Amino acid sequence: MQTPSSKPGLDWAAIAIWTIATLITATFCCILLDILWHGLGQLSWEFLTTAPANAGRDGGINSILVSTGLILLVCLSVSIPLGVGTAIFLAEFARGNPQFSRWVRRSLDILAGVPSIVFGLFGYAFFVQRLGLGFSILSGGLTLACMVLPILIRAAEEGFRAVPDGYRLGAASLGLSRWGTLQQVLLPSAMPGLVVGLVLGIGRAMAETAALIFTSGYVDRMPGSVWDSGRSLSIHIFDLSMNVPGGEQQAYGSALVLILLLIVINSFASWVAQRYQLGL
Amino acid sequence: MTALDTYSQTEHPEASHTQAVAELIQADSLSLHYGKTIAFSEVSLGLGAGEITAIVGPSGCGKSSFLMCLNRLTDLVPEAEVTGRLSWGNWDLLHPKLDTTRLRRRVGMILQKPNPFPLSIWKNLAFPLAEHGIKQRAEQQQRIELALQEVGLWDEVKDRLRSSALQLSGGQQQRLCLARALVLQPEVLLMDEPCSALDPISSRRVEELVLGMRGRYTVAIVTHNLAQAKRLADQTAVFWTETAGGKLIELGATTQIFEAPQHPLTQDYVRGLQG
Amino acid sequence: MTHPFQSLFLNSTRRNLLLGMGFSLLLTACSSGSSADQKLTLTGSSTVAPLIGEIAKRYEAENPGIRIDVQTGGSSRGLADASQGLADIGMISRGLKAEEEGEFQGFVIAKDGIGLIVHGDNPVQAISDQQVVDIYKGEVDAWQAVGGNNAPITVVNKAEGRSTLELFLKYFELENSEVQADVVIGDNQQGIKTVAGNPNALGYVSIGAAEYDIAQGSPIKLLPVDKIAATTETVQDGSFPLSRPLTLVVTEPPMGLTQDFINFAQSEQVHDIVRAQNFVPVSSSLAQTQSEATAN
Repeated sequence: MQTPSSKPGLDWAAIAIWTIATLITATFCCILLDILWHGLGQLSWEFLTTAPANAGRDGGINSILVSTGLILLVCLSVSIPLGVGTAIFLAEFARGNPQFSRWVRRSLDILAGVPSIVFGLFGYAFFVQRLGLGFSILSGGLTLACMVLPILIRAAEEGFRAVPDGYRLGAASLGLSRWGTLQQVLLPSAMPGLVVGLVLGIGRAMAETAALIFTSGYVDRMPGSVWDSGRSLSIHIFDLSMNVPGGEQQAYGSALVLILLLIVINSFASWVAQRYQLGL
Repeated sequence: MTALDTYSQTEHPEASHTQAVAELIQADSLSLHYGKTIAFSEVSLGLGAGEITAIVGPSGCGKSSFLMCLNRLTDLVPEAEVTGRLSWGNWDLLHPKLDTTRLRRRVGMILQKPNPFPLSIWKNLAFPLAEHGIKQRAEQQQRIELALQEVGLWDEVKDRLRSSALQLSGGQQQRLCLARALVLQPEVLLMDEPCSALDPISSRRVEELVLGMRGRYTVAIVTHNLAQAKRLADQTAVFWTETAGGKLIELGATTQIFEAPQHPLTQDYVRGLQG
Repeated sequence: MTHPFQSLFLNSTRRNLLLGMGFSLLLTACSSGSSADQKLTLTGSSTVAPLIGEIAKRYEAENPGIRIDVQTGGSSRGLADASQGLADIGMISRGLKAEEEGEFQGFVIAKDGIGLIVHGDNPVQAISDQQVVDIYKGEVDAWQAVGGNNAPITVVNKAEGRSTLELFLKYFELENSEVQADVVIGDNQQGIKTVAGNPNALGYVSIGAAEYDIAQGSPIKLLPVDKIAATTETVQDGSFPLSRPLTLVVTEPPMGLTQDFINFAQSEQVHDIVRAQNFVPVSSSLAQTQSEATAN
């Protein structure tokens, strides 16, 4: 039975939750509005298609956009197959060995929480120096892949675990091969989880500066290949606002582009996933 | 060389069809454990060829587990251990080297909750066919159309074969699952409460389909619905939970089970007093 | 009538196409390879990097086929990378220290003055070196003690590892462990923003950066050091005591492309770039001797 005294307590909790939610949303909106307010004036077709000049104060961000795209491409083409593969292993094949999967999962969770600068130093020592890839988009993309993998694997694994057991049972009772079932049935239905992982991973990769400054580098020239050094949008924004007096306006413009890019990529990912999931 | 190997070499899957229907699936003192938990024990039961066998009893008495032994789905459960004898003609279904892919092609299964794959209607049927080596489009098309017609779904879906199977209604989904099993041309169908998640009308349709299978397929159907068992089955098996897992307490022709039950628990059960 | 299965087939092809697209793009990107005939890599100070980046662009424009990659990450990384051969030239925002003279050779390309900044509304016009020391040590913690308002002083310090910090500590003979900082900042812009937003703050940043932001209306002002006004002019003529040279370092006597680029970076041809980046140009004849003088 509910006592009258418990009611105000409930309300307080509700008020606290609403206040926190409102504060968080408001903060986010403030940041977004600030970037929109300052950045919208910068945004133009020319801004997107011309090369940066005068340390980034003038000109546009065409080379930065290409570098960012290439870094992301390298990162995803390595991390998606590897991440999904590991997730499949953990969720579908390692079920008989819970001890091992628990150990792997714990390691991944720790890795996911490691500060990006640590990945940056690792990438610098391993990809740039050890493997001799130098300051290059390849080094940067691979470093980001290491950073994104734990997030991707954990989310993808959740995706596979969320697949109804009825599919597995149904496939097994039809005598279907494991590989075929995986490819045709489990993968599409695990898509929501994969997309969540992908969106989180892309978000982290696009926002990254510390791990990239030591690997993909600072060069703002248009890259000719993934062997060239290239400056990502996030580093460009960081440099303009921190090291270049008078670079603020351009920094806002670049930040707006970054946010728009994230929105576009995320919507595209959800759209693809939805089509996939319906089996179309 | 074991007898099993010889058997699988000489017999072509297609050729086996008529021959196998004439045979009985026979369980002798069959028991299933999950680790230390006993699902059911000492069940001896024969599924008559071309007959419909209903398995009834209260929840948790091992009915579904029994079905899972028949197509070796128990292999998927790491701790499951089956003992006793289970044979289909001269085929030992518990043999560790049994070709489960082949067994499951001949023994179709329908689960309680419709589980069409998240693929198009066409792909739901074409994918199992392709997996079993039937990749020619013409043959696929012929088999798919046949299976869909058999479950009365062809006219409803023939114009939207490439739309998602998940967009079908619950009853249509269950019939699609039935078609998915039939498209492989099995000889035996295992049904685990196939109607319990459906509305009465859809349930009736599935029931009619099952009735139509008498003589052509060997059917084992687990059900909670005694009236359904009475309407469908040639023979009825009553499972009951005892201290050490499920047991088969009575087996007989359906008319005998419902009109002259022998076991006191069965008597109460069919009168609706227990379970 | 179109066959329903035809479009099914097309659909799966389209999906494969999508997957394949990523890989083929990557392959194309890989195969095009590097086209530059000669390449020079510079790494180091984030203060010097934007300046050298611009100089490099002009050099590339004048010398087709040559590529100059500028990386950043701090002065210490500039020295480390040059030492390990990972970079052809290191960039540091200070002169070479005496113990580094053996391994490295330095070439000053510009100078940067470090100025003390306070909020524009702060009535204090000047503070002595000793007062700066006392404030940073936390022995003086109110503006009224140095002739200002009745308000506590917010001490703004640079993060460890920044060459601006090293120069500041060296000039005022402070140890970083002695500094009682209220706010620790990383870069010039952050320092300027912190002081502009706090009427009671005291900080130090590049004079070039501060002058630019003052011209843009930022509410800060530069205080003189040792009675010498903090302006680009006093930095250039060498009278301003708290200044630092922006230096290119190499481990071996420069030859070929390395030498040509260093000469270019010190020449009159880039003075406009140096000014545009809020630094102070130096004449090339003085460059090397000044580097040594600052180190001592």
